[in-house]
Amino acid sequence: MIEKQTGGKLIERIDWLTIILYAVLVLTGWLTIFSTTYDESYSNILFDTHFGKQAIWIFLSVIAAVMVLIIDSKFFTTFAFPIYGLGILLLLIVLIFGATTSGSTSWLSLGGGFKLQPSEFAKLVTVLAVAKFASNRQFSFSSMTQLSVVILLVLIPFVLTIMQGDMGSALVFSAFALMLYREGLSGFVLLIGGGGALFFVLGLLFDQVMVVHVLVCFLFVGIWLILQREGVRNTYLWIGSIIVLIIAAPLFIKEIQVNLAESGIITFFLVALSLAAVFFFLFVSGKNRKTIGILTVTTVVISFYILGVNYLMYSDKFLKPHQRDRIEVALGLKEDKKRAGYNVNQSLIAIGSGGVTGKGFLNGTQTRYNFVPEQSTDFIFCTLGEEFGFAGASIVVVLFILLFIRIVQLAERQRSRFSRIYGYGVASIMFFHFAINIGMTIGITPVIGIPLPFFSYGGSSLLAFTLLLFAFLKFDSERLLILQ
Amino acid sequence: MIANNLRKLVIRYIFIFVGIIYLLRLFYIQIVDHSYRQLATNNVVATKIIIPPRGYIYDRTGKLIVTNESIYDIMVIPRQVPEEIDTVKFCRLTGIDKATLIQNIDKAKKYSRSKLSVIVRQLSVKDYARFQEYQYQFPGFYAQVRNVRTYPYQSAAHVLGDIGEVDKKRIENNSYYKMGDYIGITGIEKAYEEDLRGAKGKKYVIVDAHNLEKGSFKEGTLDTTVARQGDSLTATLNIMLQNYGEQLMQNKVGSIVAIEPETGEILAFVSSPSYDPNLMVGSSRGESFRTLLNDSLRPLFNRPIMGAYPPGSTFKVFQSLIALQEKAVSRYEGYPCSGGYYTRGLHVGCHEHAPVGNVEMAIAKSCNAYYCNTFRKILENRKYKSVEEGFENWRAYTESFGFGQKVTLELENEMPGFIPGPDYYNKLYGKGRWKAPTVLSLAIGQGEILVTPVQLANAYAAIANRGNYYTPHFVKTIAGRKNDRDEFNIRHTIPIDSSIFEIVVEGMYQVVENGTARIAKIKGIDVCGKTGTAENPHGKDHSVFAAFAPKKKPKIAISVYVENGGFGATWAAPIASLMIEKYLTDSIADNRKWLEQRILEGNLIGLK
Repeated sequence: MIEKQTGGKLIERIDWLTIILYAVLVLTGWLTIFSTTYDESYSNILFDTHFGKQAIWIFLSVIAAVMVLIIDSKFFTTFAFPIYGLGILLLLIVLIFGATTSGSTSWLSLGGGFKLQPSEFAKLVTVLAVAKFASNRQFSFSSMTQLSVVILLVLIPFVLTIMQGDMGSALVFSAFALMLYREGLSGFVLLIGGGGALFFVLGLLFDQVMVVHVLVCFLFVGIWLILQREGVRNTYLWIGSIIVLIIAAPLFIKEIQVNLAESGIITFFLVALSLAAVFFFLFVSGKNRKTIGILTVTTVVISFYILGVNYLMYSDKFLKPHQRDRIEVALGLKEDKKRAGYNVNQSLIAIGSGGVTGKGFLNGTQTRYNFVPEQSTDFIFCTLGEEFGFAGASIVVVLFILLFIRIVQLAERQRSRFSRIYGYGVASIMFFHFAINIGMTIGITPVIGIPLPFFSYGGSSLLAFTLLLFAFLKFDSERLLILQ
Repeated sequence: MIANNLRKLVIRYIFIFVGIIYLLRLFYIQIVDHSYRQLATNNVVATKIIIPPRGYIYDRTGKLIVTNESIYDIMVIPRQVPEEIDTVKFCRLTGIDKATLIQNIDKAKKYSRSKLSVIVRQLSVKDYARFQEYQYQFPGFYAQVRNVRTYPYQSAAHVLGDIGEVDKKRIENNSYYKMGDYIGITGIEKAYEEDLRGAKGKKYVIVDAHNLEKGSFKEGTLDTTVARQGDSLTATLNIMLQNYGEQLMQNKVGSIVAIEPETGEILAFVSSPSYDPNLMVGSSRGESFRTLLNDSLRPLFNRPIMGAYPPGSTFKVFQSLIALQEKAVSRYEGYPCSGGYYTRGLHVGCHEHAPVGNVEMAIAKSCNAYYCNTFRKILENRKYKSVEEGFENWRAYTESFGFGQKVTLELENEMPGFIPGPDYYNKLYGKGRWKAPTVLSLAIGQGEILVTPVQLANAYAAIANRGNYYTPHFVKTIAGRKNDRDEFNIRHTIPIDSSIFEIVVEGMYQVVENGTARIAKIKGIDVCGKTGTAENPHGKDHSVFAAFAPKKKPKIAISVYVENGGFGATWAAPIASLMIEKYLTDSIADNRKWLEQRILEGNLIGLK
């Protein structure tokens, strides 16, 4: 009877699709590491290289995965907070005893050349703890106290990771916003967070006047659409179109684009024309004055924000020159051939030169000849893109997206709030790693040194992601049992 | 629930949206935009300039005297070196000690962790082969091959010269040279740089991020130019004679210049003390150069062309040639020598000798009084209006032998020597305030007159030729073709009748047969020469001897200077005669071995 109730044996209850996706990604990653470390002159590739060490880590991860599947899942729910405490303790220990490499103190030496990176495991314990806390029946985001506890749970490992000097790993904790959004956190948090970051980057990457200009254009197109839906008379729409065109024109004419950046007069003219246009629209529009008003105010706020970012960036009152340099290099604004700028450039060259089908396994010149730095860790995607081309790279991107969707699908079928929150946590963290890591190699996101799940060389990362994923598979296999 | 459904979808849409954006971006950079492919090629394909090996130099008998040798520098990229390497094995294989290894690796790390630095310099082919076998055990270590000059006979440093890195000024003026190229700096290496350097080649190679070569690009099908090795030269030197000369001059300061009179080819060119040219190669060059520069005996000083000495009595043969041609004295005119030459308030001493009754005897006995008289007669010749004019005429004759001017063309820093004329004394004493007796010391090759050893050898070659000479030179053929520089193929003629030369030659023959240089006599070879003792105001006189042999159809003309050697017959004459004997018979006769022994063991260093 029990068998029936729980849906059969573990092997039958477990989600094999996820495991297959996991296995394919891990093995593809391993092959790619082989390619980055392959060198004819090495005789002892199994033990001397990342490839050999990763084999050992894969073996250990599989054992860990099996163990997680065997252990009673109550272990995780019962001990969620002690496990969290242990994770935080490790972060503290590494702060005190850790080895410092290239500015970050994030490693604990295990001897034999193996090292542990506690910050990789901090994500796991934080997801557990937050899921445990938020799965409480009385939990509600409207309670300031309870929201504060959740924020505190995330903030502690975040701050400790920053103290280690590992900004990249710390930023991963912002992925919790996505998980909490599913559980009822206001969408504004996502919008303001995502939008703030987006416009911060846009404002620095492009000429700020230009960005404001684009925003104003979008605003007018929006208003124009609203007016059309209201059935405002054609004459007005024509006048409106002409105004939009006049404002949009500079975007498409190269010479004016340059002037735009230099000339204050054009900016002034644009602002005046935009304000005139807004009043004109308000005058002709009927019931939707409020909507138009909100849109306009939003645009103005964003515009000031963008101009403010620039002011903050380039005024010596707020940022010291070297801090500004760091941000600029991270965004690829400054040619820093030796560091971040160089990395992204070489990464783009490696991936871009891959073409449709790539140069073939072990034939990538850019990665083989060390043009791409960190090629078996943070920039592992380059090797894939170069040697297997668009075909290989896009298959891997699709596999990742499938994995994330599969995980949230599984999460949605959970009866227990805990496993659902946990599932979303797994998906959110992996997605954040995926988006930042691949985005950085193809020049979309700033260079933040975090690994690509299952791909990048590194035992702690692989082990932590495996535990993260397989704990969820365990919960999922017992979804009919857990009725909490 | 509706709200949750929406949120559920929003999250999936975010995943899919980011996925699509990334796929589009990948599509754009990998398929649409072709510029990355070109950039990738630019990254890995480097143009490599191939420096050809320099041309070889052979001696006149076909022996290879300058060649190239491959040496290997072991380089390191610190970043690629594993934490633990077998330093003991590394040291054993490369022959450096552990402290140096650690020091060099630290230095390399300080320079750059990802760029090549030299760890071990100049491994021979053999040593490198041993290291190469185990090189795979030392990741991060690479070998770089270089060609260096090597001199199998370890001699003739002053002729062959050396090569070194080209300087900035040269690179600016000559587009052929790039930073780090080697160029001839002195000697034949410099004079024949354009023949010896060959032509650079160019090829495309694959390099890695640290510019290390990883293979040829497209199997080398695009290689543009193949490097061409420099032309081989045949030097005029006879390396056996050269080495023999250097041996004889061991522990003596001075020079030997031997010339083939018929062609002007320099057979031997010894500047003593000398040094092994192999010292001036590669990384030890700077240190060797400093050591040699600071040596008090000045081994870098190229004495045959830079050392200007009084010719002493070796000059008397020219006085006779001029006097006879100018009919200032007749062949059978003697001069009573009573221990010297006396004129108003002036006395030139002479040694004790049989009475001199003709030119030949005057030469053989080297009578100072005779030559004072002769020189006075040249200057006071009735043919000319004044002593000044006679003097000027004498100087013109002297200069026709190559004195008072640079006489070779290939080597650097040659000194012209000095033949004083009336203008010099006018300046010194005032016009009309000096007379023939004032300049009388010139008669016996002393006083202000200065000649270089190469000038003396050349002038004796002119006597051997009975009145003409070719500019002395060091290179016979270039790439198998005759060295056709015009300067070496013009015959310089001396305006003195050949019959007069025969008379003087007879006198020179008597010098060796029964005159001052009987020690230079060689059985079966008629040597004609003249001893000299060059007055040295700084110390003991220099021993000088100049000669040619055989008397008929001369094969070798030679000048020998031994600084502080005293009489010409003491050191210079034996050395010259041994050189002549060695060159003409290839060996030293048994009855002269003692002489060879005495010279080889003779040590004049430190005598002043």
